[in-house]
Amino acid sequence: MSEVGNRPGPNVLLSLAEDHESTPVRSAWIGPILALGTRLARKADTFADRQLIVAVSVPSREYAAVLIGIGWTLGRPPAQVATDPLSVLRGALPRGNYRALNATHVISGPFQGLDESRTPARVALAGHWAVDRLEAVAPVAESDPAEKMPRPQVGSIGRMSGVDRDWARRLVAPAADLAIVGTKSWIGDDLEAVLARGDDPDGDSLASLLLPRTEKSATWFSRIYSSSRFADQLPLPDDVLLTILDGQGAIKYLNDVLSPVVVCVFDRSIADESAAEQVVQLRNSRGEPLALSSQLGWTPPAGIEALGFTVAL
Amino acid sequence: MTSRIIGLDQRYAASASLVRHGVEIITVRDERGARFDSATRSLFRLIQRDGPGVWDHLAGAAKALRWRLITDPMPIERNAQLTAAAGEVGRQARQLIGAVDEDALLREIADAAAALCTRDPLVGAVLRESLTEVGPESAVVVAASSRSREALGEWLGSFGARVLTLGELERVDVSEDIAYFVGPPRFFKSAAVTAPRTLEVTFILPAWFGDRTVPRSAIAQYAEGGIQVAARIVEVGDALPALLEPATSETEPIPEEDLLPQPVWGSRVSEDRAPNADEVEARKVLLSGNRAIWLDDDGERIRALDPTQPPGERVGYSDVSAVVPGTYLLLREGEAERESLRARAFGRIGPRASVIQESQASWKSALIERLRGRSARDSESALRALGVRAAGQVRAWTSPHVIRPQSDGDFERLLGWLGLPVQPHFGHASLLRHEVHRATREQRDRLEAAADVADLHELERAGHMTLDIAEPGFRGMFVTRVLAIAPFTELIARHDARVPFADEGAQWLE
Repeated sequence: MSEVGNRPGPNVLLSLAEDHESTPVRSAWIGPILALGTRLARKADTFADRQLIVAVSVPSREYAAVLIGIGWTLGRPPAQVATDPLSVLRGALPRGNYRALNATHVISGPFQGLDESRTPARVALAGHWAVDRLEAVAPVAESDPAEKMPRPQVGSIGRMSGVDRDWARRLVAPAADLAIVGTKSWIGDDLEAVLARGDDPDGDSLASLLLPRTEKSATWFSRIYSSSRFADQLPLPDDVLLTILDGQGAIKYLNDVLSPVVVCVFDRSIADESAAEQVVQLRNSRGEPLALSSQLGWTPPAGIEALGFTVAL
Repeated sequence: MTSRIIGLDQRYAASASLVRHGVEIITVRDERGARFDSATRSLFRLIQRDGPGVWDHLAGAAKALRWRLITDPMPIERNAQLTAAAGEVGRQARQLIGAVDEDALLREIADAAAALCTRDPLVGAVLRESLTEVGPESAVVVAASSRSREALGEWLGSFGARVLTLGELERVDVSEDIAYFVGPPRFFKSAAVTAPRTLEVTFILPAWFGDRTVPRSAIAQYAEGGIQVAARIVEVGDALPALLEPATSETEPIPEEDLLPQPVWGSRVSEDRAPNADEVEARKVLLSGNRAIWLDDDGERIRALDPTQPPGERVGYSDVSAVVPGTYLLLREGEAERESLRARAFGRIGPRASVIQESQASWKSALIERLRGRSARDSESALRALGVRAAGQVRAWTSPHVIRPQSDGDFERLLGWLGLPVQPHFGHASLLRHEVHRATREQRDRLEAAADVADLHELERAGHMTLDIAEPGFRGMFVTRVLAIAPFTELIARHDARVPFADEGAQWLE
């Protein structure tokens, strides 16, 4: 069930480890949860004008929202922009925001000039950099919180999903269209885990696959919101395509979320059922039911229940 | 400690196991319990005929005793709960003897209650046997309430078995293979079977309790892979009675729901009319600590605390429709929290406060005047034609609790529709909203800090606690669990809404 990427190979269970020091645990539920995100990423554009809502219930919320989010980021192609450093920098707008990537760092900041009189050419962008050492450069709509961060690496999951082939482009021009709302510190704990295919020794930390926007980000794939403060942060930015509402406290905001795709993750170990009733009521009053198995090509594994429907936006 | 991921893996395995194999329900025939149940049902048939009133206290005591029989099956010598509850039934019944013309029934209820104290409850014996069979280290016992957990724990602790509430079972590492729930499935949240911690789950209850429904998750009915857990019923205990009691087949059976401890709601006293300007429709909400509030639903959320969340993320807001039994509300002594936030905001605004209050009052009274004499639908469509997006909220905007429409554009168009200049009303309302939001954020930070140092396990045990926040000029705050919400609304004075008061309505509740 670990069918997530494009590369052929035997079906191998995915494994999760609590962190880089812990022993990985291989299990059958990990792959399908990741695959839900990837399926949604591929089908997101087919429900034009309607909002797709998928609700899944899990025995405990741990890792589920983050894995769905990672499946989504793996499945969303990077923005279709040219990233060849010299050609992008030659056309760069003065003071426009750009991201650049070299072997060790992601750099982000306003473009301050290209000096081709020197060899190699140098660019001024949050510091001075040799252009021939840059792997990719892309414009950014909005400035990033940090000017520089260590380059996120990918291993096992990068190879499995094929994102290793365009990793440089993904780092400078990610789709960045995912929001997760939930208990922020729990999501933070989840992100320390390491995901791998089978016995691969080079598993990927969930944080580097999801790349949430923080104070230290010079690039990012996703935004994370705390549900207890979410009311003050509405509305969500327009460029969010998938919102994952992680837990009953977040699902209460379902009616305030207008992104084209929404996933609600119910934790069945939590007694509060009012959020589930709210989702069922929305499905029954305004929703058009949708069969996830036939229309999304996704079947929930044992221990998970799922329902999907669309509503007019 | 078990690794988080191994623990999680076990949860998936346990959930799949219950879907595959179902749960076991052991029903224990106990003729003394059945006799009391039968007497209670006769009493309720009488109440169905005569209406409540004189019977209220006896009915409450009888329901409480039935509950104890199910949840507290300790041997009599260790069972002060059961003997006290049986004594109360006897006392209430004797008070009515002579006062109402049903002596035979009253004597039967009193005798049946007394007889319960002459033999150890069979449910307890079956529980004890089952534990011996599987070995106390392989089984965990789950009690229906923290009070029952204490009593069962004292009894079974020396035997080596863990006794927990469902909430505690959620939080601890679980290595046992089987969980024995003391009580029927409906006494526990659906998590007991949809998110089990053990590969096997067994419920033990008296056979006279008729409702053996196994709960399912709220989305199961519509879901792919919906979690439906089947039950196998196993009967043990006293011999089957030779004849079924004829009375039970003659009349409509009384649903178990009606025989569970319930709050005393009375019936609606308000007139059947729309609220006037100083009134709101509100439901009574019974709270832990013998208190209650009137909760109106004017669209404004109410402050709630979630003790299961980590520090810094516990204090939030709940939609009024999402307030259910078990929700923890944050309330201020003697006043509604929103009034206090308003007072803080005006305090910060200073000398201009009165100008702002007048400005708010003037556009709101213009709106009330404008709405008078035309239907809500007319006003809505008129506003919509002007491009007001949230036109459906027009009634809410008259409320003093709603400072202004959310959207700037909506507010400007609304003022235009009222024939009022945009300024100064727009600026005044926006300043007030800004200051109320600021007061709200500051207050949340204070409450988060107080929640961090509070003993939240004590809160879950006791159901309510005072929060230690010193704020000169403001009354104290407390957290309290919602016990029950009235099935009907009343018309109450607007200024009474959400202000806590003392109430004994929960006295017969578990």
